[in-house]
Amino acid sequence: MSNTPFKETVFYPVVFMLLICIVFVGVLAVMFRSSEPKIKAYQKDSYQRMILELFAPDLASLSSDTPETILASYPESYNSYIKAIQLPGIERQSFQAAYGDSLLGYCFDIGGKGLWGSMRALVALTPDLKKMKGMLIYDQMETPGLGARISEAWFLDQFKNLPVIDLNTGQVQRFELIPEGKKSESNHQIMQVTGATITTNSVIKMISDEINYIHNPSAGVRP
Amino acid sequence: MTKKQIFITSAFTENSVWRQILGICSALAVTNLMMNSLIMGLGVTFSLALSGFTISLIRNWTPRSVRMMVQTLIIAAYVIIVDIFLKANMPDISKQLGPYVGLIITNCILMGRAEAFASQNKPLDSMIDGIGAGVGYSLVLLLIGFIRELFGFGSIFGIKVLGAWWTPWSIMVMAPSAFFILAMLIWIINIKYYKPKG
Repeated sequence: MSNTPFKETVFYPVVFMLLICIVFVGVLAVMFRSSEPKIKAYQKDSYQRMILELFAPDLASLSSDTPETILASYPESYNSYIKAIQLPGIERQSFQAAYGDSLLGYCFDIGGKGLWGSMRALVALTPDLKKMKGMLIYDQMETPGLGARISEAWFLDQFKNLPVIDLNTGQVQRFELIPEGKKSESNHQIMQVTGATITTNSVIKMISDEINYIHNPSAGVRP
Repeated sequence: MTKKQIFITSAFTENSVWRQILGICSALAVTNLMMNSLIMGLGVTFSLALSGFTISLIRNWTPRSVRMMVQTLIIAAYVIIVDIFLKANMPDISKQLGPYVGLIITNCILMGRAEAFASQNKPLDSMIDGIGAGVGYSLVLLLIGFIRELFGFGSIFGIKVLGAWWTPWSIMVMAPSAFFILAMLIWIINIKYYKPKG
């Protein structure tokens, strides 16, 4: 038998690496599993809060509450006004907002491609699906400080009460990009994010494709 | 060296960015906003301190042939721990930090300190060295972030300090501006504090 100490054999690095992997992967697995319920609960909460936020101004106009109090009374307000639904042929996560018997609109979980990866947004539409009540982007991988500014309020505010169907042609509205800071002269002009033209175009394309799909599920883009 | 000397050497005298020219990628990428710079700095400091401690703790048992794999694994594990902790306990900060957590793993300062210091020194000294390197790195990031955010957005930590009269300099928001600022910073510090050799 050889007298070579185990530390100097070729097996030692393999065994050492294996042990280190087991220890660290184990620690990570335990930590992840123990934190998973909290992470998922937060994700669900923030998702539902976003849906509520899109309809909060409409709910406030019909009730004696303000949008802030409606948001503050989550989850009760969410359970009272928002319901997950399935519209025929539309393979998107869909929600309906109603105040009593009065239907306020629908909310769809839409997605598209950005510059660096996929992006996902919640878009609220009027009951006739022709006007956007608002939009919130909840997942994107764009450049921080540039493309990632599509999640900022000034950019998203442009989509509030925005017609998405051209009343003359009946087709999806074609949007025109204008420089950031320039005042919009018509409701189809959207201020782009400076230094992030591709990302802004991606948002516009995502909206156009998805609105087209919602109106023509059989002809539009597939999920 | 005393613990204080280790910290000062790591943070200032042998600063990772202006002296060793490490961590340049992230210094260019994340410094357009001061908040991003601060969060990145804190994440790197935490990972540097704990990975240095752990690598030093097992240095006598780590085979030389696989030491870099072990160091990478330990660094990655700590960065993932930071990520999971933030997601579970500070979800808002985690949301802002999102893309930067992954960048910490690829930051060459961590491998640099692991290889140059932690693998040859005691655990506590390695931890102090990691904190020092992290503080030095954070200071550089915050300084570049201050200049870029002030001129690029007219704000500091998101608070508007320059009024509506200020026309933002778009170049400051883009990565090339960090090249110029970082180069000037290294130039000024070298001229002022380091004498040329020879």
